[in-house]
Amino acid sequence: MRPGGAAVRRALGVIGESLRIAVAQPVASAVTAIIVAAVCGVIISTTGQTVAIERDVLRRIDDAGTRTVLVEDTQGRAALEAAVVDRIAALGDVEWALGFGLAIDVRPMGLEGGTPVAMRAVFGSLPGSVTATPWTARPGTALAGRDALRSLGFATAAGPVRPVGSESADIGVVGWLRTEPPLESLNRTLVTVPAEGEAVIRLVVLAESADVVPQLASSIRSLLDPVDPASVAVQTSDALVQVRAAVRGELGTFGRNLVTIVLGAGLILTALNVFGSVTARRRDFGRRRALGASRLDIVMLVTVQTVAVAVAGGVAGSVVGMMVVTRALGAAPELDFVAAVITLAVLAAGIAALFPALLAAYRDPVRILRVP
Amino acid sequence: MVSVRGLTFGYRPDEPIIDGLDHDFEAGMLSAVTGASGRGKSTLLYLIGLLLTPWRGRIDIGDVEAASTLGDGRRAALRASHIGFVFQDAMLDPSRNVIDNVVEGAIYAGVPRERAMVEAAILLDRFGVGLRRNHRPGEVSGGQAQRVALCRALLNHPDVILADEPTGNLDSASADVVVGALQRAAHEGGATVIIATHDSRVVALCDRVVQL
Repeated sequence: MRPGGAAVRRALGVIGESLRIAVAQPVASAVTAIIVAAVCGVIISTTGQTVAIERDVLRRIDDAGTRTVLVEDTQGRAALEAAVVDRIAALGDVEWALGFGLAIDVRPMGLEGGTPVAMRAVFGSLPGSVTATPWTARPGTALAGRDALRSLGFATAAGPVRPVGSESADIGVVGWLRTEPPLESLNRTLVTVPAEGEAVIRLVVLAESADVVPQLASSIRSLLDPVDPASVAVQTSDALVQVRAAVRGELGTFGRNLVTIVLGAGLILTALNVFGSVTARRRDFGRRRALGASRLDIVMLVTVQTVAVAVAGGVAGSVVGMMVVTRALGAAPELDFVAAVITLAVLAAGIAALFPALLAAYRDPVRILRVP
Repeated sequence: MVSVRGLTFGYRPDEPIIDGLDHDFEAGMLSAVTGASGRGKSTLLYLIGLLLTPWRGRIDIGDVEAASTLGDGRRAALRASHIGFVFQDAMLDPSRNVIDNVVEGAIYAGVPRERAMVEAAILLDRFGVGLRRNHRPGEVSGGQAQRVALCRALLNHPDVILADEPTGNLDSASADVVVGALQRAAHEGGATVIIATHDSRVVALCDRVVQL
């Protein structure tokens, strides 16, 4: 009876009519928009701050070493081979792995007043978090941490050093490096190339996330293959990992509860407003039914109108919420979080409109039309 | 043509107000449905307009057995494309202007808004309310409002026009305009026009009379 093209045109026409009704009924539309704006604004300005704080706390905990696995040859009898560093670095959950040899003290040559500093051989590639001058890692060369340079008394990152108590050949400092946790101790040392057959004494491994640290520690143990297993200690920050999980859980639960409460309140208020609006417009819906609107058309008219207004309100409320968070924390909340809040609020408004829309659609049009 | 056979309906169980009605409302004719209040004049229009479902009997609109065999979507589509309603009070949307009110029915018939706006403007001009197209219903007289409602009913070129006391609230001049338009829709447009009315002047202008 109705060609497909006409059905599509009718659906588009109903959507367009919904938008025109939203404009023609400014009071009802404004109330819905304000409710949804308030929902988005409150969620973003409260939970948004919680999310930002959680992110900051987790970052600080992570900085404190939750992702770090430390392997030490405590008695010097493990004889860990250099190749073990590359094997561990190749594991799936490892961001980087760096091995260190035994530390020796070196002193500056040809300078008065410089103090000795520690020098260690490094196994593996320096991670991206280490800022350093280009270094080809040739034997007899070293990089010096910025603090170590000061201790040595070098005005520039260049000069000879020699192991304390040794008359062996000088080692040339050819550049500087600067590092962040968990390798911050390198700022006070020199790093050089391992000698032939030198064993790894210390191994620092950074996991990609704190969650995988326990499994990663187990994998590392299986790859070490030490001569004397009793000499090897594998350390992780179990307590910090637990604190991290607790922080994430507590703040996450708080945020979820708050979002649920605010969304629920918004849904109820929107439903009441839409219900009041469709009750006041019962003759309007009766007339529309007589003019050819189906029940589905009426449901669409009410829900599309509500959703359209909710989108406008959601965007406006989110902008205000973002301004509040930016003012309080100095940084705007992430856009995907804001988008998720708007989507949830609009979805809630749509659901809230559904029940009043069905009531309007299933009202007897004749009963409405016969009442003057 | 609209044909009803054995049509029975009531608002309360066991109290039919239309009981076994048989009648053919012919195309191109103006038919008056008369009778005392409460005898079912408006109810008959709502039954033919597919807003009510009869207890028993059938309603054929053209070739379609419409009353009991179609679901809500098909009945609404049939109403939108083939039936035009004129009510006693114009029943215009007070929040929209006159021309928006006229094109309202075109939405549900799937008529593009631009085309509907053009045809609505022509109809409004024909019925002498073209200059009021951007006014709200509250800014036009009762007679003008009913002419706007008539434009709305005629916009989709319906096969059937159902008018429920269309002159009940009008002065005689406005009533003449409305009845004249309905006559033209029937005699020139070939529509089946059914008017529920108490007004003896309107009855006298109709081609057929059904007494309930």
